[in-house]
Amino acid sequence: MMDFDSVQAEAKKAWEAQTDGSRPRIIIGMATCSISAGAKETLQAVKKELTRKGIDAEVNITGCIGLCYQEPLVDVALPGRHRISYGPITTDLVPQLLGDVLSGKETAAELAVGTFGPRESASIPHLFDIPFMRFQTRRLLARCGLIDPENIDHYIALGGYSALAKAMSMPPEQVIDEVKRSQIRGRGGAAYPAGLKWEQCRAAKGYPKYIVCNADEGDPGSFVDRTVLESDPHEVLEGMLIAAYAIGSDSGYIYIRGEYPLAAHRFSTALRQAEEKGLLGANVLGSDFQFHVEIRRGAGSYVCGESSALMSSIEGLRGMPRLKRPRSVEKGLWAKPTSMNNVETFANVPLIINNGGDEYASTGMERSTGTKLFSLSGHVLRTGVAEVPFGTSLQTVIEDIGGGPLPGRKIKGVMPGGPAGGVIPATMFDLPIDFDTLAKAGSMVGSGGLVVFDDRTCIVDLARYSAAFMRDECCDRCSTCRTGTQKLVAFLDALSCGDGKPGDLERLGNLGEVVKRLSHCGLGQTAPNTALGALAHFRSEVEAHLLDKRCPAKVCSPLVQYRIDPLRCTLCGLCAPACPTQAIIGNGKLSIIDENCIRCGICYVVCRDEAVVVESGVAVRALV
Amino acid sequence: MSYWLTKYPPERGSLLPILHEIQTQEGYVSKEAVAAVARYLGLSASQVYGVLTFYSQLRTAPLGKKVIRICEGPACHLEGMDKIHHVLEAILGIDVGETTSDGSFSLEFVPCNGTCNHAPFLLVNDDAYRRVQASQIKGILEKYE
Repeated sequence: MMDFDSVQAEAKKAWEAQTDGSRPRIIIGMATCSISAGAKETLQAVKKELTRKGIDAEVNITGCIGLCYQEPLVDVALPGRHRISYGPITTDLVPQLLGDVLSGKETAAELAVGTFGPRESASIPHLFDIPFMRFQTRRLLARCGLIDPENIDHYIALGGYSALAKAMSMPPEQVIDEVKRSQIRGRGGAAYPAGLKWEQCRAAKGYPKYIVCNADEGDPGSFVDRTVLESDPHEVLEGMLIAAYAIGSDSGYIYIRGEYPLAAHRFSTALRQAEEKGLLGANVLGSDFQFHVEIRRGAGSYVCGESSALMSSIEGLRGMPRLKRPRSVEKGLWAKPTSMNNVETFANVPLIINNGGDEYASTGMERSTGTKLFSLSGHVLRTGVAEVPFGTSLQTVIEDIGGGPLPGRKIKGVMPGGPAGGVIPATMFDLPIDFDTLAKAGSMVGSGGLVVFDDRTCIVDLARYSAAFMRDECCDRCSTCRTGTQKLVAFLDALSCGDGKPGDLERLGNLGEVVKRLSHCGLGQTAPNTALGALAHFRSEVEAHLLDKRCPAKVCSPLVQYRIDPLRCTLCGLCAPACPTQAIIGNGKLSIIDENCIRCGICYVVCRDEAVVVESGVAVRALV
Repeated sequence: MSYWLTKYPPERGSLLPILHEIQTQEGYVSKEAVAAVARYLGLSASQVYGVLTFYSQLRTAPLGKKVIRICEGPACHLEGMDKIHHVLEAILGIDVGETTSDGSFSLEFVPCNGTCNHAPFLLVNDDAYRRVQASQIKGILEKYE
C-alpha cells in the first residue's frame, strides 16, 4: 500500500518552497466574483508592473475568501512579513500598491483590508478580526482564499486527504457510523440525514452503485457551492471519495451547473491532479479501492437541481423530476443504488472523519449540527460568502457580518434560498438559523442564499419576480405547478397593474397552498413561498396595491406615473434626448406622454432640477 | 462534423455532453447536427430535439456578434434591472432571447454572478459594466456600433 505520509511530506515540501519567504509573493483572488469585479485585468496589471520594475516575485492565484465586496483582492507576502490583503485593487491602483509595498517603504495601509498575521495598526487589523470575519466559524472556508485551488499540494500540505487516509483505515460501516453520529443533514435543501442515506445505499442490492454530487446550484442569489468548488475543489472530491469507500461505490458523477464554467474547470483540474497522486482512480492509495469521477455539465435548467431531474439529465433525457418510489438509494441513476449529496454536504465529510462525529455534532444546534455557508447579497453593506454555526441569528449574519443596510436605507426583510425560500421580515431577524425554525416561519435554510431587500423594494414586485422565475423554470409536467405558477404570476401581475379584484388576496393565498401541497417536486412545492410570505408578513403593502391602486415603494411601473413639474423645470433640455422612447415633448413646457413612457426613470436621473416627479396612487392618476 | 463521434460512446447518456460540444465548436446546434446526433445514438430526431430545447443554454440558432448578457439575479433585479432591460429592448427593438435582424446584437439573461455589490451588472461580450444605470445604456451601445 502506498504511504499517504510520503504524499503529504512531498506536498508540504512543495508548499514550503513556495511560501518560505525567499522572494515576494503576490496572490490574486480569482473566482467568478473576483473576475467580474476585474481581477483578470488586475492580474495583467500586476504582471506588467513587476516586469516594468524588474522585480522578481512569485505571482499566484487563489479562490474567493468570501469578501466579495472587496474584490478584486490582492494579497502581498513580503519576505519575513505576514501576508496582507488589499482591496479593492483596480488596475489604476496597482502601481501605487506595488510601488509602496514592494519598495518596503510602507504597507499601503489605506488600501489594506487586513493581515493574516497579528494586527499591525489601526488600518491593518488582523484579517479575521474585521467585522465580516469576526462572527464566522470558518471550517469549510478555512482554505478558501488561502490556497491555490489549482494546486493539489496546497490542499494536502494544509491537511487535505488525511481524512481519506484515515477513513480507509476504518471499516466502511464505521465510516458511516461516524457520519451518522455527526447528525449532519443534507445541505441541498431537503435536509435529509446524510449518514442514513449512506447506510441505506450501502445496504441496497445492486451493482454498480453511484455517488452523485449535486453541484447544480440554481437558486438565484446562492453562490456558496460555486465558491467552494472554485476555491477548494479537493475538499468536495475528498468527501466524495470517502462516501464512495463507505458505500461501496466505484463510480461517481458531479453535475455542475452549466453557468459555472470556472468551477467545472477547477474541478476537472482537481480530478487530474488527484489521479496523478494516486488518490483517485484504479488503486486509491495503492489499495483495492477504486473510484472514478465524471463531470457532467448542466445546460441552464433550474429544475435539474432536483435530485431525480438531475439523474434524468445525466441519463440524456429531458431534465424532468420522476417518481420518488423506489427511492434513489435503491434505484437511482440507471436504476442502480445511488447516493446523491450536495457540494456543501460532501465538503463537511473530511471534517467529520478527522475530528469524529461526536465532536462535529457539538457545533450548532441539536437537530442542525455543524456550520452553514451563506451567500449574502442584495441591499446589504457587505456582500460575500460567510460560514456560521447553525443557531446563529439572522441578525448576526445580516447586521454584524453583512454590516446592515446601505447608507440612508432601512432593511425590510430577507429572502433565504432565493425565490423558493419565502420572505422573512426584519422584525423576525432574531430567529436562529436552523432547518426547523426557518421551516416553521414559512421559509427555509435552502441552499444558503440570503437576498436582503430594503425599503426601496416592493413586496408585490418581489413576489412577482419569484413566481415568474418559477413559472419559467417549471418543467411543465404536472399541472398544479405548470398552471399554478402561471396563475400565481397572473394574480401578482394584476396587483402590480392595479387590476386586482376584491377577494384576490384570499384566492392568491388558496392557490399558493394548492400549488405547494399538490405539486410533484420541490420546485412547485416552493414556488408560492414568496407570495405567501408577502401575504403573511407584508399584507398592508399588498392591500395598498389592491385597494388604493398604489405601490408604496413606487416600483410597480403601471401604478407609477412620471410627471414634469413646470414650476421646477428650467427647460435645460437634458431629459428629452435621453428618453429612449421619445416620450418627452413640448417646447415652452415639457410633458411626458404616458402611453410612450416605459418607466425607465432615465429622465428622473438626468434631471438636475428635481423637476421630474414620480408618484403612485389613485390621486395621481386623476391628476394626469 | 464528426469530431465528437470518437469522444463519446454511442449511448443515451452521451447526449448532453455531445450537444455541449457541438455548441462550443459551432456556436449553436443546427438541424443537420440534430439528425447526425440522432443517428449516432440510435434516437429519433425528435428525442434529440426534445432534450436540446429543454435546456435554456443550448441554442438552435447562432448568436449575434455582440452578446449583451443581463444578470437576472435578485440583487440586480432589486437595483432596477427591469428598467435597464426594458431600455435595451426598446433601443434594440428585440426581446431578451432574440438577435437583431442584422445579427449585430443578442440579448440574453444570465444567472447571478455573485457580483451583487456591483449590481446591476451587465456584460457586453467580455466587457463588464458594473452599477449600470438606465441612462448609460445609450452610450454603452454606441461604443459597439
